[in-house]
Amino acid sequence: MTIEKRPNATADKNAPTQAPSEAPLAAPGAGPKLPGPPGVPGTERFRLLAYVKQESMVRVDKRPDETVLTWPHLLRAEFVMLMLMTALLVVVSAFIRAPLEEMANPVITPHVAKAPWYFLGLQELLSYFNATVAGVLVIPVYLGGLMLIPFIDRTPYRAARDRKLMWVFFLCLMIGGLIITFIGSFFRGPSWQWVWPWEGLFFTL
Amino acid sequence: MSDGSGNRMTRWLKESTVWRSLFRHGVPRDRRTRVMAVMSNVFLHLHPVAVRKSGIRLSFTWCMGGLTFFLFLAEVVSGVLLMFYYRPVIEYAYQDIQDLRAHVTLGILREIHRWGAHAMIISIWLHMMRVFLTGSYKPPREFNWIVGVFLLVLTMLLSFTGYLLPWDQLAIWAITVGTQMALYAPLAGPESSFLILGGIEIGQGTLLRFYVAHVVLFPLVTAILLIVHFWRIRKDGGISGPV
Ligand code: HEM
Repeated sequence: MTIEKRPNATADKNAPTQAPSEAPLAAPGAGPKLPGPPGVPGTERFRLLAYVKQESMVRVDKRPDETVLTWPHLLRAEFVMLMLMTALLVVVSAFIRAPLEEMANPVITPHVAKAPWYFLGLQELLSYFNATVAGVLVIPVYLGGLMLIPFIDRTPYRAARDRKLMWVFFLCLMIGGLIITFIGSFFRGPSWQWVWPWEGLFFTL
Repeated sequence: MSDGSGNRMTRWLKESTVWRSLFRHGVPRDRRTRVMAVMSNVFLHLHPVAVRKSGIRLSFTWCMGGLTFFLFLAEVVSGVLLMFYYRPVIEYAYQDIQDLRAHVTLGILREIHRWGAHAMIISIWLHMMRVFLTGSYKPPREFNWIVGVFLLVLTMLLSFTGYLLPWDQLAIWAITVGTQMALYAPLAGPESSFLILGGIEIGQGTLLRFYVAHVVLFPLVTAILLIVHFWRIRKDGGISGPV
């Protein structure tokens, strides 16, 4: 909100909301009155405090953002999520053991060597290309591309229909990443050969 | 509970300087005390005192930013507890991990830490998706998006360095493959291999390096970036409004 001018400081003849000139603002208790029985206590008085400039009227188009207090509304939601998450984590941990294999032995190469699952997409991708090309291209392009998104997509619109191209681009990147991660996780076996999941699972979390 | 009632003892207690220095406002029951509660507490003050109704709808944030943060905290707590039992020395590390299961009361610490780490990677990814889908990287939030990408990289690095620590076959071979991939990156050469592994190949040097990075370096940097992330959210006018 822009507080543009104070009334009567430097009188702006164009300001539409000037107080009526017949009302002597200086005299206390004598401002313009609401219609109502004169002299009755409790009758409101109005006084021009600020002249709101045109641009902020755009807000009228939008639905007003209703706000709620952080305490209790947001904090309650956070507390519930925290409890749910903790409970889930404890239950999962009580029932599913973390994997632990034989003690490390640099001499014995296991017949399947896979990176942690979140890198399996990358490992899959590296297997398609010449290593240096893929290495030079994939990581910097992926991360750099992510960082550049706000600077490529300069339009002020946030709704999906107003930035279709960006959506398609990003979703391709993300879904593509998911697919190759999935392939690397469940469809690759010894020496990165293709195996169907029913032929054997080579995946450890 | 009300201030007027209660015996003289509780009234004396509540009017004492000690009590008042601890609880600087009344029970958060009305608008004023609720605002005060959020404003006068350093942790709650991460939040604004009021938020858009649209912002706390589950369908808008999917709670994923908050969940990622909670998971980070859970990792810190369980990680510190694990540090009491674990020695980053190749003769002991594997045995310590085994003992965690066999001899430590409620031996699920390691599980909590490991599943929490996996969950955090999923939740950070979902968080990034929602920020993108709601177009919340748009001005003035470009900078925070970039901070976010760094947080994403750090989360991966935290998870990756932690993966080596159990010192079993799974760990060293996954890390072998992973570091080999990292070395495909531009400008990487034998020196950067030595830098990461702390030696020619994976060994004691690597374990110590990964350990220090995992328990001190990366958590610290992540925490600092999280402060920046949250501070930026506030400075950019809270989380974005409805699309
Ligand atoms: C450790 C990792 C992270 C944590 C703990 C975290 C936490 C949060 C939280 C709590 C919020 C408030 C709104 C919400 O919950 O959605 C938020 C907003 C935001 N985050 Fe993150 N975040 C992380 C990583 C990321 C990543 C990877 C990105 C993007 C690449 C990102 C970009 C943003 C942006 C742009 C906002 C503002 C969104 C808005 O105004 O609606 N953050 N973050």
